[in-house]
Amino acid sequence: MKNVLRGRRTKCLVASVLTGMMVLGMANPVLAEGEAASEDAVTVVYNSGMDFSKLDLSGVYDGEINWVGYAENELNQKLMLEMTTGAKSFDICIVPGFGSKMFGSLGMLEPLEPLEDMDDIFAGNKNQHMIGDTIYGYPITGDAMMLYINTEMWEAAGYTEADVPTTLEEYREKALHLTIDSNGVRGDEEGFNKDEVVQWGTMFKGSATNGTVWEMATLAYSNGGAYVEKDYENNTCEVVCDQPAFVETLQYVVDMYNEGSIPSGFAGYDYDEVDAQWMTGNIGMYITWPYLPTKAAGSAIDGHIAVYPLPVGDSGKGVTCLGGWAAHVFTDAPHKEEAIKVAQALSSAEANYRFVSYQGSPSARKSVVERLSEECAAAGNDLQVAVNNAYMVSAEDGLETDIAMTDAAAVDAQTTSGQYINMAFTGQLSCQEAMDQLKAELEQIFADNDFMQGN
Amino acid sequence: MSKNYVSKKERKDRQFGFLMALPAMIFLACLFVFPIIYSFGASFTNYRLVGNKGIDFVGFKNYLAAFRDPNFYNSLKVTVIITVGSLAVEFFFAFVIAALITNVKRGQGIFKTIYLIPMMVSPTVAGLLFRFMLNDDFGLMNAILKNTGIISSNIPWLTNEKMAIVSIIYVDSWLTIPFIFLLLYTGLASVSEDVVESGRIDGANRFQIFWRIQIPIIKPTVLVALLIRFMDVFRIYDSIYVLTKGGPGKATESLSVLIYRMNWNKYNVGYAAALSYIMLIIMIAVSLIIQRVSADKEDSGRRRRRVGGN
Repeated sequence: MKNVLRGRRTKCLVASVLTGMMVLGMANPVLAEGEAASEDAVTVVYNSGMDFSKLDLSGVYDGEINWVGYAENELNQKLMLEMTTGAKSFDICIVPGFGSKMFGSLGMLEPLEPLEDMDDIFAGNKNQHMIGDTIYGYPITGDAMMLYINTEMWEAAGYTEADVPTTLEEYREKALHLTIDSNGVRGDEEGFNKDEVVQWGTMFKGSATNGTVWEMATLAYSNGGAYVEKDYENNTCEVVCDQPAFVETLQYVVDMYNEGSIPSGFAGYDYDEVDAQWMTGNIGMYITWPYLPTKAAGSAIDGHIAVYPLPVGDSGKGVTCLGGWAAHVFTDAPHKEEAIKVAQALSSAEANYRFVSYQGSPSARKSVVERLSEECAAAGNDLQVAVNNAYMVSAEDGLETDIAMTDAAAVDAQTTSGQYINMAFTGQLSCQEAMDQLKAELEQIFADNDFMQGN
Repeated sequence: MSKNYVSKKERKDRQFGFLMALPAMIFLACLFVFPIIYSFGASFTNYRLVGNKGIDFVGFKNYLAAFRDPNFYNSLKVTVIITVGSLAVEFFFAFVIAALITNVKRGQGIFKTIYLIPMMVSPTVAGLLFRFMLNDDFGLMNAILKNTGIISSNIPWLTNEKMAIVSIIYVDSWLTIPFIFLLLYTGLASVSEDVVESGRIDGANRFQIFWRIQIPIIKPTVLVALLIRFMDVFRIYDSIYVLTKGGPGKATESLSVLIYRMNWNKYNVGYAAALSYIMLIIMIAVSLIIQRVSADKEDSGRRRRRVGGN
C-alpha cells in the first residue's frame, strides 16, 4: 500500500512539474529566448539590412539598448502586429517616412519635440517624418536620386563631359545613341535591331513593386506630375496620376523601352537585378539612389562611373522623391522617457556620422555629408565626393514621396500603384488606361483608410 | 476471466497517461482549432488591422463582396489555370518517368536518385534559381534557346502575362514531378509480376499491360497523389512570390497571393478571412468531386461486372 501511495505521489509530482514547466514555457517564450536582454534596456526594432546593432554610441548614449532586427520586407508587418496586439515589446522603431505618417496618424507614435539643431537636417527629410507641424521621427538617413553615367560607354559613343544630359529629352536621345545591337549598330542609326541589343542606353526598375513607384515619382515630379495632391489645410486630397504630366512621363519610359534603350526584362526586375545589369557594364546611364558606387565596387563598372545631378524635366527642375529612415518612439513604449533620449542620440550628428561612415547610407544631416565629403576628398575618393555633392543638390530640391506618405493607406497605395504602372510597362493597358484605373483604385483605398477625406 | 479484463492498476496507469497527455492535447487543440474558429468568426466582421473604428458583425457581406470583386475572379482564374496546368504536366511526366524506370533493370537506383533531387530543393530556392534562369536579358534559358537557333528574340518568360503563368507551371512541375513519380513508381513496383506475366501470356503488349493492367491496379495511389497535389497546388504561394510577386500587373496573382495582399496590404482581415474560407470550400468541393467521380466509376464497373456475371 505504501509503495502504491509513494508511486502515486511521485507520478503526481512529475506531472505537476512537467505541466508547470509547459505552462511557464508557453506563457513567457521571450524569457526563454532572450536571457541576455535586459528588461530595463530600451528596445529598438530596425531593418536588419541597416545593421544598427554595430553602432557605437559611446559618449552619445551610454545606457543599454536591445537591438531587434527584421528584414525590410517583414519589418512593417511585425510592427503592425506588435501595435495592433498591444504587445509592448518595443520602445523605438527605425522606419522610413511612410511609417512616420502611417503609424503617427494611427496614434501609435509619440509626438516629439524638435531637436536643438533641427536646421542641420535637410528640409525634405524633416518633412517626411512629420504630419502637419507634429514631429513623429528624428531623421537618421536620407535618400535622393542622381544620374550615373558609365564613362566607358560614354566615351565610346564619342561623348564628353559637355554632353551630359541636362534635360529628360536629352537623356532619352543619349540613351538611344548609347544603345548598341549585336552588329555594333547604335539605336539611332539605320539598321538597328532592337531584338539583338547587347548594350543598353539606360535602365529602369519596372517590376510590380514599391520601388518602381518611387522611380516613377522622380521622373513625374521632374515633369510637374504627382500621384496625389494634398491640401493639408482642408485635409483633402486629389488623385492626379491620370493627368497628362504623369501619363506622359509613364509613356516616356514605355517609349524608351519600345525604342530598345531599356532591357526587355525591365518590367520584371527588382533592385538587385537592375543593379546587377548596371554592374555588368552594359548600361549607359542610370537614375537611382546614392548607394550604387559602393554596391558596384569590384564589379565590371568599378572605375567607370561618373555622377551628376538629375536631368531637368518639364517643371524646370530635376526633382527627386526622397527616402530616409528615422527613429520613432511608440506611445505605449515601456521605457518612454529613456526611449526619447535614445531616439535623440541616434539622430545626433555624432551618432549619425558614425553610423553612415560604416553603413554607407546618406545622412539626413548637412554637416555629416560635408564632413564625409571632406574626408573623401582628403582620401582621393572623388567619386564619393561627387555622389555627396549630387545628393546635397537633390536632397535640397527633393519632395516627399507623395504616394508613400498616405498614412494607413501607404502600403496598399504603393502596391496598387506598382501593379498598374507595371501593367502599362507590359502592354496590358495603355498608359492612360492604367492611370485611369489606378486613380479609381487609389480613391477607394484613401476612402477605406479615411485618408484626407475632409473630416 | 474475461480477455478484456483490465486491472485496477492498469486502469489507473491509463488514466495517469491520459492526464499527462491532456495539457499537450489541449494545447494542440487550441493551436489547430482556435485559428480556424477565430478566422471563421473574423470572416463575418469588418475587422481591419488599422484604422478600424470597432469590429462589427457584417453577416455575409465579405463573402458577397468577393463575388463582386474583379480581383477575386482574376485570382480564381489564375489559380485554376495553374492548378490544371501543373497537374496535367506533373502527372504526364511522372507517369512517363515511373513507367520507364520500372522497366529499367540496371542502374535504376541512380535514375531514381537523379529524378528525386528537385524534391530536396525548397520552393523558395528553386524560385530564385529559376528567376535567374528565366531572366529575359541574361537568363540561361533564353541564352540556350537563342544559341541553338530555336528562337531569334528573347522570350519574356516573366514579363508577359501568359508566359509568366507558363513559367510558374514549369517551376512548380519541376519541383513536384519527383513526388508524384515516387508515389506512382511505388504503386507500379507493387504490381505483382504474376499479373503482368498473365497479361503478357494473354497477348497484351507493353502499352496495354501498362494502361489496362498496371494503371487500374494503382488507381487508388493515383487518386491519393491527385488529391494531395490538387490541395497543394491550389494554395500555391511561394513560387509565385519569388518568381513574379503576382505580376506582371496582377497576371499571376493566385488566390493565396490575393489573400496575402488583402490582409497585409489592405489590412482587411475580415475580407481576407472570407476569401480563405471561399478557397477552402472550393478545395473541399473539388476534392469530393474527384473522390465521387472515381468511386462512381469503380462502383458502376463493379455493378456491371456483377450484372454480367449473373
